[in-house]
Amino acid sequence: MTDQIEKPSTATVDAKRARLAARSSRRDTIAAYVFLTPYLILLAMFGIIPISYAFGLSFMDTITMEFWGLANYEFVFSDFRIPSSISNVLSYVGVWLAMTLLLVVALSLMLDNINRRSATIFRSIYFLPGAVTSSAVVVLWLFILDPSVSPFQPLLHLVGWEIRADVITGLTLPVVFAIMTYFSQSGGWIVVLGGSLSTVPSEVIEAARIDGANRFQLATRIKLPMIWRSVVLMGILCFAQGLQIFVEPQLMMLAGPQFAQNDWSLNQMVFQYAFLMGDFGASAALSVMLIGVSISIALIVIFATRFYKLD
Amino acid sequence: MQFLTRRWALLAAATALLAPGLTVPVIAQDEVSLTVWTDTPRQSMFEEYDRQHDNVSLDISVQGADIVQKIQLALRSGSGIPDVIFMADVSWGAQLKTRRTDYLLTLDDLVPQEVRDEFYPNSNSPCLLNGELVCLRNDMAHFIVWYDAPLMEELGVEVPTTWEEFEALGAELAPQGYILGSGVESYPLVNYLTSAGCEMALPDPEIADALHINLSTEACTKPAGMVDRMLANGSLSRLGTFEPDLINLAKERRIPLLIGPTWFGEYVIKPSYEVPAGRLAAATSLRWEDQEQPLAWSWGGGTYGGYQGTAHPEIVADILMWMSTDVGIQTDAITLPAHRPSSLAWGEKLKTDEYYANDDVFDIQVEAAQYSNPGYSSLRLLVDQAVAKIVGQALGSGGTIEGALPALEAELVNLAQLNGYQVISD
Repeated sequence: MTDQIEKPSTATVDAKRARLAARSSRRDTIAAYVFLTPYLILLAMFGIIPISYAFGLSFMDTITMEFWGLANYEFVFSDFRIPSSISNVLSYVGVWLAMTLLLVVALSLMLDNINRRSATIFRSIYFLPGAVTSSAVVVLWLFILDPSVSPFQPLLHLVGWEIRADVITGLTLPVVFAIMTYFSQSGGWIVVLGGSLSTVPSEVIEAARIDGANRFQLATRIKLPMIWRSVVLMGILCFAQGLQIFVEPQLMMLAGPQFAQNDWSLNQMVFQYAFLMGDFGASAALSVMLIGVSISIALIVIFATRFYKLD
Repeated sequence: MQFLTRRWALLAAATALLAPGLTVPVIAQDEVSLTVWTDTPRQSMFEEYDRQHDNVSLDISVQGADIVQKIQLALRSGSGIPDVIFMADVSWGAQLKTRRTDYLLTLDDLVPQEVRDEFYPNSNSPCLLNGELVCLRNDMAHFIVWYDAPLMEELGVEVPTTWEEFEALGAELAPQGYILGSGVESYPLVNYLTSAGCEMALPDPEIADALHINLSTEACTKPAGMVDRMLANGSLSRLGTFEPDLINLAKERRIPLLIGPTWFGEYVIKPSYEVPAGRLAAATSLRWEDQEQPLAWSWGGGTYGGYQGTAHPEIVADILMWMSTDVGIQTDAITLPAHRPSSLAWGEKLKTDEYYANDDVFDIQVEAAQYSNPGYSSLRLLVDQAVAKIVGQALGSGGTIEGALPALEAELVNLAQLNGYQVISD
């Protein structure tokens, strides 16, 4: 009892502090996990468990549940439609990624140059099409690309496109789908890049301006290098998303059966295997390969650019 | 930990003891409950069956065009599998009767031969898979000739009876700004291409899972050449049947004649093309000059099927038969019944319908029924989509349909083999 009224030694004070610090950091960790839990549960339910299930399924005959080794993978590789689907998807991803990287970055940098209020209005306008579901966007575009009902009729006629088939063969399908996705997705990314541009310290901008940088130099030499991580992130996510193109080609038949493209993309093949042929094993095999490609590319980009390294 | 497992073991034991108590049958019920998946037009017919049969209670749900996909999932999960379905597309039958998707009930022993004989010839060919009856056809959908009688008279032209005359008519009318329908819509295109007996994935009547595919014969090149020439001179449109521009042409009375399925009059020409009453007439399907009789493809015509794992196969078969052959219910059906006695009762109202220019529209549909191509069957591959893909690519790059036949043949052969068919190409 008497100990308590004695002045505590410095050693015990330090120990107490350390204990308090440890306790608070432990509390922080616990809090972090509590906040993360809902996400982790959802990730497990809709990400990790289905992927593991598909991974297992891809080595099985799904009727007898026998182990089949690589038979499902062999089946997928022997399908004559796979090479053309791969080239379709790659040309689409190429066009869309180029459009997104160039136009979204350019628009974001330009919006950063005008006053804050107008920029916010523009960003909201750009974001609006993204609020419409992609299936609705496809239907909308099928009208826009039909010279008989399109608001851009004079423009389409100017190029010599009289009917929808002309427009689609003229633009080619990868470009048509890239345009459809660009207009539904770019708004969101313009908002994201706007957010990361606002983190560029104003003193850096000031300094550059004093050094005589014009607006173009400011954008390309100062701002762009400071937001490159967001641009890379956009690239990775768009690539992974682009590989999964499904809705756009699948809904082409809404323009008429002669426009139907039921085996255009790889994800449509996944769908065909599972739901037309009832072959869930082959479907899982192709899905596993698709996610494998996405993950490997993400890892390469992350490690090659040392994405998570703090400056 | 050990305590926990012991507690679980106790719980499991308790459940096991209780289980027999839980399975004591509830008071035996006479009523059999079955699940039905249908489309909207057939819903009231199933409801009528339910009303007329006290011993059967139907749980009817309206489904979209994704019935095959939903059944795949239901079969995988092993629950929620419907006992009876309406298949709006004939290819669904083949897709639902495979090693992986063993859904359809075999009706060979459940539907008596005399009932099968009451259907129009070939009308049940989409329900015969390797000689096994797996469904019953609801309605016919073979291609016939539809024309605007007063307009044809005004133009001073005759209704063709052969494809040669059809092509000549197109060549005569095209310079005056008239067209004879779409030249790119998949099903009409398949109808043109198969009109001379082209082997575009036709099942072999003897060998199981064998398809005849050979597109290099004159039976294929002749009609393909005709469509190419008619697309070139503008007598067949490069627009699809339902594209706004083609509908506008139809409304402007620019389509004096077209080749369409039996349901076209009531469901396309009347409501979409807005052809006024007293103008529309029908003529029998076209033949080639060297053919003895026409050979008509079909566009649609739904079928009824049941589940092989159902607890009540007899009742399921009874529902399928009642739906497709009950004269009372089929009289009010919306499309030409495949069951001959029902169709006769159904056709009475067409004879007095003021909408048609002639009172023989029904008789012509019935006459043409015998020309229905026996090769119009249910396949695991989708021929119309392969045609859409290959012909679309060819026409888009400035090619011709005749020039695309080798590519189409390759596509069909590949698709057939992928889907486990043996290909016969001689």
